[in-house]
Amino acid sequence: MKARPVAIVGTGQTRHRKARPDVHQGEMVQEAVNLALLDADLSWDDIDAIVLTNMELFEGRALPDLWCSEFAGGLGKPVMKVATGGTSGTSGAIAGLLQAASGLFDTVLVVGWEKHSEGSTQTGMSLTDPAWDRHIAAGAIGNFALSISQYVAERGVTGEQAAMVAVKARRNGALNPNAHVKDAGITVEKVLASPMLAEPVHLLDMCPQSDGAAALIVVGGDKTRRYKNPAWFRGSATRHDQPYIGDHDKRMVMMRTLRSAAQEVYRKVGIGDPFKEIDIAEIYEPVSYAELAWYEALGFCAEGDAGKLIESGATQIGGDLPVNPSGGVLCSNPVGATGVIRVAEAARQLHLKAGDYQVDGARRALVSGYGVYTWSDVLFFSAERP
Amino acid sequence: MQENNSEYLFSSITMDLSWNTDVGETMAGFFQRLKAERRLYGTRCSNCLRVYLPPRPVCGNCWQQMNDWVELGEQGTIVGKTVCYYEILDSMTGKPRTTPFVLGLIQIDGADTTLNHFVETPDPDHVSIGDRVETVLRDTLQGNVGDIVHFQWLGPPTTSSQGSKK
Amino acid sequence: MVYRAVRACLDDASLTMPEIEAVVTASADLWDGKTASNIAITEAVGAVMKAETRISGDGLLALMHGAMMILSGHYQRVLVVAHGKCSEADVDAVSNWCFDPVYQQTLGVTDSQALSLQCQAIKMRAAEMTGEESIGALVRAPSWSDSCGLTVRQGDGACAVVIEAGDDGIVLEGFGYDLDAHYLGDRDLSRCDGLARAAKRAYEMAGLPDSQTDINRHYWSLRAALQLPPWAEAIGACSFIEGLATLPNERHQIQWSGLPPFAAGMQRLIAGVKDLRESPGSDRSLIHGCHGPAGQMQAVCLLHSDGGPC
Repeated sequence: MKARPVAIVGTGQTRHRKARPDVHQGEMVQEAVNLALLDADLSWDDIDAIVLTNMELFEGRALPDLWCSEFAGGLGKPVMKVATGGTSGTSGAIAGLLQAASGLFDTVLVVGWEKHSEGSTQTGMSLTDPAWDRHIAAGAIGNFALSISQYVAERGVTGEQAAMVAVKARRNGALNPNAHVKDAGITVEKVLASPMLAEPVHLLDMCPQSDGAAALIVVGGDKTRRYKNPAWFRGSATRHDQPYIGDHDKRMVMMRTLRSAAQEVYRKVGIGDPFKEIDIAEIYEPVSYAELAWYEALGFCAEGDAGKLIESGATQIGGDLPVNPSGGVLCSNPVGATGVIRVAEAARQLHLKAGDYQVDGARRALVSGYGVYTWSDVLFFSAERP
Repeated sequence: MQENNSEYLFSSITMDLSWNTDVGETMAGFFQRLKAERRLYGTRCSNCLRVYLPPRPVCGNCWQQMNDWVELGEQGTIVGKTVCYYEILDSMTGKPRTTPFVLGLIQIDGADTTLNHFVETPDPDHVSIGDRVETVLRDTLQGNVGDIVHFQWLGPPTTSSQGSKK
Repeated sequence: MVYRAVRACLDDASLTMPEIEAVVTASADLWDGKTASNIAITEAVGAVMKAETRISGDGLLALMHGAMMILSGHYQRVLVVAHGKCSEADVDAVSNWCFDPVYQQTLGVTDSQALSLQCQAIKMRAAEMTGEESIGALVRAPSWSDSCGLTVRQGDGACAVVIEAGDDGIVLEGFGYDLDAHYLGDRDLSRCDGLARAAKRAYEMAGLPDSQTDINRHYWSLRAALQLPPWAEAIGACSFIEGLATLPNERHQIQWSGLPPFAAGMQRLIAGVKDLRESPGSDRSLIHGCHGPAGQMQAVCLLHSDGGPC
């Protein structure tokens, strides 16, 4: 069966911040939804179905969609909530795209949000097995650092190269009014001088925790006609994996999920040389070192060449393959929305609406999502109708 | 959006729910063996022969139920390492753990997967990938994860301390 | 628990795990006491290096999402798994956390209180319409005279089904789902508008008229028997008064022995599929699923069998 072409025609985001005490979760959701509707020139009545994404335990809520859907205009509509950890946002976007592609709905709203300031993230991070992992609750940073130590030992990337990723992100973030962390004057020295959290990870190598929401409008069928620059959905792949960190041999070096998902998408879309054929990428990098490892897993460079790639400047705005021109996860991270933001930013580039961080000639965009220890989503969009 | 208004109202709610999570048959088997023999056991997949620690009922790679228990060594090798400088609460004492502390990914002799756990050492800066460690168990075993206190750093591998690495 | 359900399902379908393209799971984090409760079952559902989507809600929603994945043309065969394990938590206390934190949660409202309120509303509506003061005088089953009528217990369980593209055997010919207002006071609890909308969508998809009085069997996943008359009214099966006098019956089945939360709709679906397999000739069943306070989220699936082999 040939898939019905669908496209993202509107996006909306809140200003992501450390805390948004002025609004409750539902109001924050409403803010992003209204902006997306405005962007797509639609009203609440035009929405046929809604997909929500949020990591409920971060705010200590159960099934928050029951309460928050009303603020997304979901009353009396088909509403589902997708939650898969860090990949929630990208998986929710894929769900919305497939629901529109099914032909049952012409216009689907995807909205993700997180209000980290309302709850205890430590509680929320008690992922996986309560019998084992919670006891050794050293948190995400320590576990990242463990995998990074293997990546560094294997590939020889340096702290300076990782710091260059953090510098690129915060400078890009300074161009993005929605970004939570922004710093136009950041330097490699400043990153390396920031407090050491867990060797070799400095404070400025890590992503923040943010309050924020992001929304997408997906349309299919005749509804796509009135839009000038739709971001056409070309394909996606999802890979989940075993749940313990120790199950993954050299997790960050190998990253078999991301490798396999990217290969599947490249095959579907017909991409031979991702570095040459992709115009812009919005990838889920929770820590600077991860962006380097993901370059290799996504085939942006040869194995072991990620350090050279960041040094070359090719992944900056204006380079051959700008990665995270929006500032990425290192600048804004409301977890349940983070994946939606990746998709929204890629779509904005194809809509030619990215403002100060617009990539010239952006026609093909890649998105990746990351969650748990190794789960991956990959999505591909183009300006060209499939 | 109001960013400079300090007058906000909050609804303060404390979560005090509790769960009695069933550890499951496989982990129960692990704790029973640990308590009876003071030894770690893993489960082995009859298809790919991978040995899992912590033991699992199902090999995710083969989608195969595992029933073979394998006795594992008392020592292991550090395959990933970090020195942490941020504060965490020690779940054993409920108090902050003194910093810096060392975390390791430890491959126990005979296991194919690794454990993330604390490495106890006099000098955090001298711990390297490839170094050997020894499992330290609590004196009176209670049949839960707290029975493994930490892993004691032994130093770089010598021919005699190198265990039966597969 | 989940592995056993998936194993039984694949054996039943004569399939092996590599033949499954994608998995959709349904569960609820707080009921499991986990963040992203599908992480605990990744291996059991065979989702290692596979596409898995997890819907937080009743399993019927996961089934519908799986069906939409197939309809989109991106996938051919999808495994759907739902689980609920309420023995691990005080489910009623947990349910308080799904009420909005500004008003209803702080009042301490729980699922069972919402259910009681709903049953009160249904009784009042019945009394107004008939002039009878006592519910006992109105209804068929004597046990309906307690506060909610008979209630269905909640338990532990996991369910799995495989769906694939095709039009032979037992066909999922229509489905619909709907979310109603969250504040209990915003809804007329003696009716179920969300269910009416969900059923309407399912009928429309199946090409059936809005009022369905000739569906052979209805598999309800409700919590209290008193919910049945207004809910049967919502799907267009009978009037409220008629429902009070005649339900439940062999065409409208309640699972008295108990249902696991979030796997309830799937359990009813499997019961429906089993009955359809055994019934000769053309046959149609309606499967109902819901979650949330007083049935805020409603789901309806229509199964049709042409009597052929499945």
